Amino acid sequence: MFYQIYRHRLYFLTFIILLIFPFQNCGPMKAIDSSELESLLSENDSLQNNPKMFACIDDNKLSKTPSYNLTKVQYTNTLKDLFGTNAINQALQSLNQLPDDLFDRFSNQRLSTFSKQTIDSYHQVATAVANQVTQSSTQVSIIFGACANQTNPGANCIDNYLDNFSTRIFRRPLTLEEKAAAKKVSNASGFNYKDNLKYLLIYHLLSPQFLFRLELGHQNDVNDKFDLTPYEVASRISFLTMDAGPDIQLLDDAKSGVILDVDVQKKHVRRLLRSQNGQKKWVKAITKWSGMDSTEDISLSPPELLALYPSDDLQAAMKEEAAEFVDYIIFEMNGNFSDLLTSKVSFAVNSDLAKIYGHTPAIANRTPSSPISMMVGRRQGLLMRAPALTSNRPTTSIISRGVAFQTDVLCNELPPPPGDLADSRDNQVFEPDERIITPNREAITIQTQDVTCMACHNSINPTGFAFENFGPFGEIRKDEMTFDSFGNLHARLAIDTSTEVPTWRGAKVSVRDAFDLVSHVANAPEGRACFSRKMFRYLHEKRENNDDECQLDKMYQELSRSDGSIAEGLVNLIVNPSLLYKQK
Amino acid sequence: MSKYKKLVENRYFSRRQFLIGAGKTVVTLPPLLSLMPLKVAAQVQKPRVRMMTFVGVYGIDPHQLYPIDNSISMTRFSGAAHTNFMNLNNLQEKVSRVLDFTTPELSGLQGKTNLYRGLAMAGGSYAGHNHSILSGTHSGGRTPTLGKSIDVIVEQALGVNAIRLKTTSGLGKANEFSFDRDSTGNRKISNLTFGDENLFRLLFPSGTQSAPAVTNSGPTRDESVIDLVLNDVNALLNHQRLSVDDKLRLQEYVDGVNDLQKRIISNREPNSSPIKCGTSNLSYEVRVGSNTVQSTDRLFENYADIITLAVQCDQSRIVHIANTAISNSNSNGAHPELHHDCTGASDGSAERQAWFLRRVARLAKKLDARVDPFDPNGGTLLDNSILLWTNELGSWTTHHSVTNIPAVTFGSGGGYFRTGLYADYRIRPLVSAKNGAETLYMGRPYKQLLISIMRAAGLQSTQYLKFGDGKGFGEFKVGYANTNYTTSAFQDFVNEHNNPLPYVSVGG
Repeated sequence: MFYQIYRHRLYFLTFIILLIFPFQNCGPMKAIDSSELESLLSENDSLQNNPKMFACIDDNKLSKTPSYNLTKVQYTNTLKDLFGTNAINQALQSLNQLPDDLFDRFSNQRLSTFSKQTIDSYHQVATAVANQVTQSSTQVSIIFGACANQTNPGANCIDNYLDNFSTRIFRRPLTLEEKAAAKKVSNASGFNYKDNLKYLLIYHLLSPQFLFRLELGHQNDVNDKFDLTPYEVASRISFLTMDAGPDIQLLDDAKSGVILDVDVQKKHVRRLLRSQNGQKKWVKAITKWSGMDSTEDISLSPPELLALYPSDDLQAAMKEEAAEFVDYIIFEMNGNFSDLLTSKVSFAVNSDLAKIYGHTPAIANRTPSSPISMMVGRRQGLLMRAPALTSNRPTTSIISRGVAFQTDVLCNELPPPPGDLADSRDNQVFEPDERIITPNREAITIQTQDVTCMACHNSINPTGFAFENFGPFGEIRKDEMTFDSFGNLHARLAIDTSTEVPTWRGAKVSVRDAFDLVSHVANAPEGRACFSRKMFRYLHEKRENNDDECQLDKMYQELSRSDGSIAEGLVNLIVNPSLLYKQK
Repeated sequence: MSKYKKLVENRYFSRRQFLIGAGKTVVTLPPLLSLMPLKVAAQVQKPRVRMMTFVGVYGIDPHQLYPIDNSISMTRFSGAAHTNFMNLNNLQEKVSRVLDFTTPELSGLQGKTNLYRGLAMAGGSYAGHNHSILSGTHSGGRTPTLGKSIDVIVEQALGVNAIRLKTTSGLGKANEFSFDRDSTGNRKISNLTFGDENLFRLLFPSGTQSAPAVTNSGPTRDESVIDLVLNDVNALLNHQRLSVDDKLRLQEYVDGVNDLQKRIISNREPNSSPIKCGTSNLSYEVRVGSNTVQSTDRLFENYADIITLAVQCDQSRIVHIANTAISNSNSNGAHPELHHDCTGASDGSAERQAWFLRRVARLAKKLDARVDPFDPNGGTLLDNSILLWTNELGSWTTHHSVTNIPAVTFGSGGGYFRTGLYADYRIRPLVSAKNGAETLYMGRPYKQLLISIMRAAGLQSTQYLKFGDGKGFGEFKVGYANTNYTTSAFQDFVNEHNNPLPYVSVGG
């Protein structure tokens, strides 16, 4: 009642506070407006264990969906599926020249645009693939039909290609105009027929129908919203699920129209999730979300630390093991969100990594019957694995760890500090001889004690403190080693990991260390909700808005079920009513 | 030996030029790339990369060159530490007073330009004005005591003579050039000759020769196919169900394919007015004294035309211009206007830096207007060049700081560099130290940029790592002199200071 009466005054007060303290905007993401939040909060009173986190009001709502060109991964996967690995190997040099796609660190919005290098690579790859295909009688026969290898193929020889293989390139049947244009190339007089076929392939591989995920729909235009064709639905399912164009089964179901049935859609998504491309896509998505796809350069560490873990390939081993763990949880175990965050299973084959995880090296090339190694001590799940814990300095990265956990795992937005603020913080840097006798936790506390800094660091610091029992290699430690400027061990300082971590909507959780924090998030609605948001962004290359709440809710609800799984959550994220249409 | 004779004896001749120069004598030689039909040669030939360096003297006040930190959002490169970037297109066209793409000289070059921030002489100490900046060290004295300038290293590695020019005693006062190297192979910029006409005659001493033209006949099928693609995309652009954003994205694709088509056509069509190497239609700039001309602007314009012709005719692939416009006194002339914390020095320095950068940009545009006859893919001369505009100091103040050394490049060095980027290599979180009124930011070793440039030029690591302090190319120390970071400023780069600059270097 108080809130109802004074709501407008509270808004004004909030506005003033935001003006005075620009960093008060550190906090949970706001994807829903306040009236929806009110109703949602009242519902939550009766849903203590599984509160609603998304305001799903209209199942048919969908935010704008851009028609991007294929990502480098999608382009490569699709070419491989169409023409086979040999043809792609011929084009590898040009393919490697294709610039990598760039995405915003937080929203995953596509940043890269077309450059000369992109266009040149498309042209060179198309030429190399077409050359390879038309130089092989077998390939010509498969793609264009046996008639194409004859001395005088008839004018209609190309029809086989136009009715079949080209449908896979365009991801839909060609129109009459497109077939006529293609025939002009294939039947051009005065040229060798296979040369004509080569240029036809180059033409089609440079076509926007191939290079872009175009969705032009076919009916029911209302308020810039329209229905997709069955072929466009099939394409969407395929690219969203496995970053490649639709296979023959999908195209067949598009042709018959059954792809518009929800059960058929789910059947395909479940199938494609477990394809090679599908598994690769989602293992990458989840390792990227958790920061396990990269490491800091630990080879810069002091010799005394390096001597403990001398493997040259330790960093690569860390990343590979994390990827294998994700693959195991999602696809072998059909695990849920809690499994991902709390399982103690380890696949560390590298002896140094096994030492870090506290077990003997796991069996390489394991089979389903192989014994499974388990991590020891207060370490569990994906978020406490080594890659994201590494540091390229003798000290741990309290701030980086805190920022990553708050932004990626709890979805609390933290704007970067402005330059002058960073300057003032840098002025707090200790003299080297002071620094090596000061615990990292204490140093960071002093450096960020300014009231402006604390607007964000009051959540960043305690989160990072909880991970202080992990050293710069991600190893569990009992004390903090400091080193002098020559890299010699100077002192062993006591560490303190107990803290109170802000989690969601002002709530705080008291933890002894990161193990407690991760246990809390593994079972907390905000953890599942944030994970759903992050997977949505990865899926659609954009930040969600209010119109996407239902999609997010479907994944969240699946993750919240006692027998739910991440894989099925992804199925729900992809298959929902919005799959069938596009919002301009 | 006269300079002329020395030039003729040492100068690089292409195989083709050698045969023409031999009076069209029929000589039976094994087949070489230069004698093959271009398309055949193209399959085994990489683009011929040209390297050009332009060095100024005084350094620059950071806000005169870079965007304001608080106003932009950069992306962190996950493949390496301390590497942040964003597209130049996402900044205002006027990035700063000095880098202003609204000026006629720079307009349209964003996509082929890179702006670098935070590069530092790791451990170098400074002792006086010189151009050892190109040696990856700043150890004092005119000749690098550690390392060797990259124009010399590349010159020796490729066996191609460099064009070197130098301005002295204030802009427009003296403009000299030299091809010389001393007995140890170091750059030598004494005993200079003066003026555009002399430069031209030194480059083209043997009269008119045909420029290597791309030979091809008739419209290619590539062109026909690309016409079809363009028709399809243009038809799509009118589709009612495409959103504005989708149309913009498709338009970007159309623009890119149009450019590709232009390159292919340029590659095919014999030039309607073939360039004749050695034929000059330049109006040489008028001398008004022994080493002074009426218009430095026009002189630079002529230099740019001659350089463009020289690289197109493969008379040289290396250019170095030093803008050493300094006065001998701290109390008069240009020196106090530009330097030593004087009132207005920040603006004065920026004006002169902008002038020089715009001259470099004019050259870049001239290179971009010519199709490279040696590029099988039809790229322009700029595409296959890397032009570095840099400065021997980081800041314009009296402290002669060598952190945050300004650098701008044009061209992709034959695809080696990503382009169109603002790349920030300052150590994150920002590590700074005060040096008087200046704030010095520590960052990635500057020499990594030089290594990238040498790699783009085609050098292997063994060809440059030997020129340095014994730990690789140039100089590297973990600490930085005269700051709080004496022991550890560059610790993060101990294992990678001999690597190319991350993210921008895609050529390996």
